Formats: sequence, C-alpha cells, structure tokens
Amino acid sequence: MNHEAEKLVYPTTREEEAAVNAAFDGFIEEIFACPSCGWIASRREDAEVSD
Amino acid sequence: MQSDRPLFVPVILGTPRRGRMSENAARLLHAIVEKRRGVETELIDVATLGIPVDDAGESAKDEAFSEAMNRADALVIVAPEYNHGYPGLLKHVLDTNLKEYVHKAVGVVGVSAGIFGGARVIQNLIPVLRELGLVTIFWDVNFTTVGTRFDESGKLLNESFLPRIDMFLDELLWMAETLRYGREHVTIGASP
Repeated sequence: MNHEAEKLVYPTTREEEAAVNAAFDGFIEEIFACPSCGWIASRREDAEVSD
Repeated sequence: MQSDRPLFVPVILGTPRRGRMSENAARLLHAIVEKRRGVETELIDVATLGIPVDDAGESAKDEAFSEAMNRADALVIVAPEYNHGYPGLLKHVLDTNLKEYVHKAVGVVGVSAGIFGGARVIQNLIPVLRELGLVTIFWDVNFTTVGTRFDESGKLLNESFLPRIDMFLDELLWMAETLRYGREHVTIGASP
C-alpha cells in the first residue's frame, strides 16, 4: 500500500475526542492506495489499518 | 504512466425530488462517459440509496455506494441549484464517506431552470468537495433553462452542449489518470 495522503479530521463523537492529537485539535487519518488494484484503505495515526 | 485498468467514473444524480429535470442531464452524461474508451461508469441515484437521514459517517454508510466511491477514479456530480444551494440529500450522501474520495477528481454539472445554469450551486459545492479530499477541475457543464433543453423522452434538443461536455470530460479524465498514478505510486512526504 502506498501512503499517499494525511487528512486532519475534527472529532464529532466522544470516542473521537479521546483520540485527539492536541497539536492539531483533531486526529490524523492516514490514507493508503494499493498500487495493483487501486483499493483505498485508511487508519488513524498510530492505529491498525482498516478499510 | 497509463494503467491497464479502466478508469471508473460514476455519475451521481444529486437530487431525489419528484419531477427532477436533472435526471435527463445525468442520463446524458452517463451515456457520454460510457462511450469513452478505457472508462467504466455507473449512474448512481441518491434517491435510491438506503442511507438513513438520522445518522452520519461510518454508521450511515451504504455499502454499495462506498465500494463504488472506493473504486472510483473520478466523479461526475449532477447538481441542481435549489435556492442558490445544493440538495440536502446530496450533501448527506457525500458526507457518509471520506477516505474513499481522497485525491480523486471531481467535475460538477450544474442544472437550473434559469439562465445561470447552476453556477451558484457549483460555487457552493466546491468547498465541500475540497474538504472531502476531492480535486476539482476548472471545466463545468451548465445546463441553463433546463426545462427547454430536453424533450419529453429525455433527448437533448440542443447539441451545442456536446462539445462542452467533451471538453469537461477531457480534463476530468486527465485529472483522474494523473491522480491515480499519484495515489498509487507517489508517497506523501517522500519528496526532498
């Protein structure tokens, strides 16, 4: 998977508030793309990859 | 740079209203995209998606819509202008996804009963698309006075729209191809 983008996401739920990085007032969603099939997956910074 | 995989460019019909005149525009765009070599498409009607209106984000996702967005390389959004804005359901549907859109191309087809051809809905929609990670192009298609543009069977009455649609698609497909290469091969932060 190619790591091609990072998106700052502002929290909208209590669960997301718990994951906030104080430097950004939100959390970073890392976006990955498969070089073979193009499938997109993402994960929160320092979290497991999910799709 | 070109991939062997065809580009996937779905057309989203962005209004559920009865009597919507945008449907003719969406069907026309879909038929034209379908004829492009190396491109696959699908007409997605927001009226038929089973997305709840009392929830948002991941929990409100429609699986088929999300898969289509994940597979997409570019989107064509056909949006009528309602009181200078976009249809509420179109915004709600778009908001159910995020990662699926990032660094993908989008072109907007504005539709209105008056002379501005959806110019104001396009201007209002662009900041939303940017926040979703989509990359807008600078060609639009504007269906002015849409009530006069199609006959009762949905056939386009004024062929002067066709070259504009071709120019719009030329740029959209260029952007789609370019962004696909970037997504799959260029790593963020790797440049010196």
